[in-house]
Amino acid sequence: MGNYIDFIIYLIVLLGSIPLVRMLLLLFFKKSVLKNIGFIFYLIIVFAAILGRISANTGTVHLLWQAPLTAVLLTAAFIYVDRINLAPVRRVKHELDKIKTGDFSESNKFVFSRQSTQTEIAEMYEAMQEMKTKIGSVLSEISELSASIFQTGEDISKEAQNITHLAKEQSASISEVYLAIKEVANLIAENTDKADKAEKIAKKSTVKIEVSNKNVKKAMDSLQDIAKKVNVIGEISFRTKILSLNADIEAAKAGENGKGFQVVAAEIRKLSEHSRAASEVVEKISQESINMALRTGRIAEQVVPDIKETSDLVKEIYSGNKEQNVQAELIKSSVHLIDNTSHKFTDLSLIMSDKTAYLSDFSTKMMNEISFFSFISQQNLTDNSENIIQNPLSFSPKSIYITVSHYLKSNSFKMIKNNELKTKTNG
Amino acid sequence: MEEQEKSAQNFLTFRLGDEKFAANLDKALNILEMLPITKVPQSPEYMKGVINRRGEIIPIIDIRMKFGMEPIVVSKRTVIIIFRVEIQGETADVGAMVDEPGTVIEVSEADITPPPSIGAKYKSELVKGMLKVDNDFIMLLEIDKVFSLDELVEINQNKETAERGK
Amino acid sequence: MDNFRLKFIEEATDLINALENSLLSLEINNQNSDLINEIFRIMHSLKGGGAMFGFETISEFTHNMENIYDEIRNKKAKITQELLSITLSSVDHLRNLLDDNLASTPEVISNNKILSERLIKEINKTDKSQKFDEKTEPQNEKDSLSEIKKGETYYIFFKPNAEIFANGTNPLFLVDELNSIGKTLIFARTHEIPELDNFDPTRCYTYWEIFLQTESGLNAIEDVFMFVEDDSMTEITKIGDGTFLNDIKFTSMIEELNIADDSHFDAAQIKVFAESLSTVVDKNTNDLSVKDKINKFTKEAVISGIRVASEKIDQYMNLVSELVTTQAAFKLVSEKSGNAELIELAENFEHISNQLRDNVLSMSLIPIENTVVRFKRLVRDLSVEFNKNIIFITEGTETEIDKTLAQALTDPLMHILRNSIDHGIETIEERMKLGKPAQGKIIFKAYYSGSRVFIEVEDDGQGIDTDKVRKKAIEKGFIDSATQLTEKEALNIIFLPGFSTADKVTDISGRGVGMDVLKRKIADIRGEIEISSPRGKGTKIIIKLPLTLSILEGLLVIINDTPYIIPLSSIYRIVEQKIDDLKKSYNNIVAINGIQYPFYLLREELEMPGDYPEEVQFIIVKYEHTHIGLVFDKIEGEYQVVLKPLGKMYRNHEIISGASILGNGTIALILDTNKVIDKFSNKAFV
Repeated sequence: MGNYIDFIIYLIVLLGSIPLVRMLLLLFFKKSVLKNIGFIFYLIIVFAAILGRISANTGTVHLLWQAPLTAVLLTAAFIYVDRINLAPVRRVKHELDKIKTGDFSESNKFVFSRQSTQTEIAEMYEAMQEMKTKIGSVLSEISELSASIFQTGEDISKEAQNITHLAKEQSASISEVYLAIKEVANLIAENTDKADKAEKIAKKSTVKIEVSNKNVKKAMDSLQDIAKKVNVIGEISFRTKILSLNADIEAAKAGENGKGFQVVAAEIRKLSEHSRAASEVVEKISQESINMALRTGRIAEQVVPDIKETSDLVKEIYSGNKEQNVQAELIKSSVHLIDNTSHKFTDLSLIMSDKTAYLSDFSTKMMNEISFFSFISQQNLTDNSENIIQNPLSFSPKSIYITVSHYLKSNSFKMIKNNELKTKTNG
Repeated sequence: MEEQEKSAQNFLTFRLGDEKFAANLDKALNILEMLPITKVPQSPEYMKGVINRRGEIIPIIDIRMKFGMEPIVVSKRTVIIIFRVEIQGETADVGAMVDEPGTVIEVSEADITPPPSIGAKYKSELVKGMLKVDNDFIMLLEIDKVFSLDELVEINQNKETAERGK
Repeated sequence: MDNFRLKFIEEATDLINALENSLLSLEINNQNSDLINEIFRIMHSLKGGGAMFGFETISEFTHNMENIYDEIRNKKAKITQELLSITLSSVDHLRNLLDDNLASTPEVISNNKILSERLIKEINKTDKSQKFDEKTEPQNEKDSLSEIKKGETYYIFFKPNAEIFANGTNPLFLVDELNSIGKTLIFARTHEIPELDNFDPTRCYTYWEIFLQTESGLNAIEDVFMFVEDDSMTEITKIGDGTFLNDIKFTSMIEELNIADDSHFDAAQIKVFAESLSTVVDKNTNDLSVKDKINKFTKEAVISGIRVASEKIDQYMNLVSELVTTQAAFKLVSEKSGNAELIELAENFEHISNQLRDNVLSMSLIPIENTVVRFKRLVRDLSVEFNKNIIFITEGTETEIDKTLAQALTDPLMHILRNSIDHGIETIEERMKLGKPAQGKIIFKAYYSGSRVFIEVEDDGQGIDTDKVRKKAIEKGFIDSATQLTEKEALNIIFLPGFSTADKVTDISGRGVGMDVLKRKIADIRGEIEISSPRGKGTKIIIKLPLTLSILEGLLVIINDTPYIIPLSSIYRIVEQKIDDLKKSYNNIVAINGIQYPFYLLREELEMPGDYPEEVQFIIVKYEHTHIGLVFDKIEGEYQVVLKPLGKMYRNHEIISGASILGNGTIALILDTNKVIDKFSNKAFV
């Protein structure tokens, strides 16, 4: 009886230490596989201890059975370790094998048990897994890029060819422009010369018109003078007429003696009438001349500023032309420069065309290199998503049916209602 | 000598408006160019006023108005003919404004016809006859009558009787 | 020829007037030999002129008269009342004969016959009584014939009037005529003949000095110059009795004296020389009387001056008027120039022209006597005709008036006298009944009063019956019966045209054209006529005339640039007024210095265009017994203006009495302020 109690106490102490050891293992090894291996060893020791105590007690050493049991227990413990703690190492090896072949495509993720995940090996797997995914996506991008580089290289090559063509054309037309501008510049130079001449002429004519204007004025003054004088002549002849009439009257009073005088008076009167008529004609003419001179003067007066304006304009044109001339020369040289440049440009575009061809080759090569890697193409992913997205937008015949039937139902209802209303009204 | 004068007489022609008139040359004293006329207030419109003819004061008549024409408008040709006329048995010098002086013409007795009695435009008493000159007829005026005071006297008498009535 | 006839008629009329005057004087004093001589001389002149200018009837007629008065002159016949009567009738007859139109009428011809017969009868009477005396006449001639043998020498200075050709007289004929009556020594003086430029062939520039040795006597020489003596200078001096021209000493002396063309002989010197020569010549007893005669003749020629046609005086007057006007202008210009020398000259010029003006004015003035003479005759004839005894008393006939006025007065005065005789003075019987003296009296008075001449004609007849006038006026529709008239207004009715109170129409008056014409004629000469007639006591008509028609002291005023002249005599005061004040005044009366003056805005009354300036000239003029204002634009100043008539055309113009020509040749109208006020105050009768 005393033995049992001791045993029991012993048992309790042994069993009780297990969780404590577990905790200590966790504390010391943390995520290392050793915590699991150590714990298993501790459990075997505990088991061996218990068994030793029992045998001691009974005094019979049952060594036969003890050895097999311990072997079994050890084997079980090693299986566990292999199975649980070394599985991740195998997964890593598997993955690395795949990478060796350039396969970066994503495989099903292996999920570890709770204990196993807590090991460093599991973590290593996960890290490797992640690295693979990332390299895969990089490779896919590189592939895509190289494809587009190729495409672009193709395009560039094509454009470069176009550019070369256009540059050639441009060069030709610029040459033409250059020739045209050269001609224009010549014309402008000629114009400038002419404008210069015109300006000189206008200046001269202004002076001449001014002189003639002065002369017209002078002529008008003299005409007016003449008109005045003619007026005086007219007046005098009128007076002479009156005088002769008076003489006639006096002569008539003098009777026979006045006869001769009367004749003279009549002659004087006739003369005065003639001179009056003549003076009237002259007056009329001079008046007309005055009017004409007035008109001429007025026109001349108007013309002078016009001519001056013209002369000024011509001057402006001349200076404008001169400027134009300078600018035309500038343009000419510029165009000449452009012409040269465009020729150079054509050459350059040819070089560029060659380079692009090289680029094209290069990108093809790169594409071939890239094709070694396998990875999930973005293209496929987008295709699937497209399908998923398309569905909700398309009308399925079923849905159409539902919609129509629903419509008909509501409509018929309305029709019945209407009929009812109609019958009601009819009744 | 006198016979000769009778067979051909001298006339002075002048123009009033568009018509030609003539007066016996004996009646005319002289012709004056237009002179400033001093209007005499309170006198009939046809009495234009008075002028100074070499220190002599001569009344001026617009004879156009005597013939019912528009009052004369003075122009460069307007002249004053001074006539010596008989007014109520007394001689007086009177000036007549005419639009233009004409000339002195000699017309033989045979070419002086009496004034037309029917359809006469002007008071027949003012027209002495018609002078035939180059197929043209010129009205010969009875100058004394043209300047007769009858009209004026009548006017004044009427005025006086009117005043007397007050 | 007509011209000369006219000239003769003019002269003859004057002669006949003088004849009439002399005859009337002779009637009172029939012993006056001067008068008889005068009458004879006129007859002689008429006879000669008549014959010369073709008035044969006159020549014949006066020949008889001349004969009669020759007899009387020579005391071979006596003046009888009948003779005077015939002569006076003859005077009228001669007047008729001068008028060509009247001379051929049957009345005049028969009258001529009757008068000639009566004259011849008279001659025969004297012939019978004085036959013997008549025979003595040839004896006288014989006496003179005896003188002829001796011969007489005369010095004749003959300077014909420059206008002598205009009379149709050739002075050479006269010289020739002298040549025909004796021996002559003739010097023609030609130095007055001007340069050819100024030479007027119608004028005579030559004069003659003639020594005549004749036996025909002084009368014959005088006869030669008979028709030129009035116009020309003739001086006839008797050198002495004797045929000096036959004496070589005398002629050589004369040749010696004739040194220069423009010298002329001293008659007295020659006479003395001649006397020394004429020892042979007897001193004639008649010499003295002949000398007297010559003296008298030359004296007459000198004193009575030369006869100038009134037309010439008029021209002279006009020229002087022009001169006065020009002088006024000259004075203005000189004053404006400020040149002292010129001003002095202008003052001198003014002085001279004023003298000249006074001179010509006095020349154109004649005593009213000349006009009155005719009336004496008229009164005499009419009183006989109407069987009334009337004495015509004249006072102040020496009063001188402008000859134009005198001429213009004749008709109105004649009319007044006729009225007085016909209507005024009662017949002898009526006068006796009324207790008036049998002889009626017409007093003609002329006198100066201020710057005017008053002429009064007063009779002591029955006066004007104003009731009758009133009745007649109502009858004629001049007034209606309700109109109340004062005595003066009633009297003034007779001046209305077409009014006559005479019940029966006589050939003298009562034709109803009387008093209005009278008034108008007086008005024509700027005169006024007033009448007063105390009932039953007579009628007095006063005619107030300006002294002269020619010159007027006036104020030159302006309305609307038209110059007017107001006689200074009618102006009382001049004040400047504001036109606004005048326009505001009530009833056109304004108070100046406490005195109220009614006024007329002449610009408006005369219907002149335009407006008065701000400051106007308020001229207060005398009107009747009050003062009235007339408003003018401005005053130019005092002027002495020469009056000119506006002419017949404006005769009926009331307010303008004439016109004057200003220095610059423009015409200023002369405002008769009385008439202006009359007119605008609508007082037709006063």
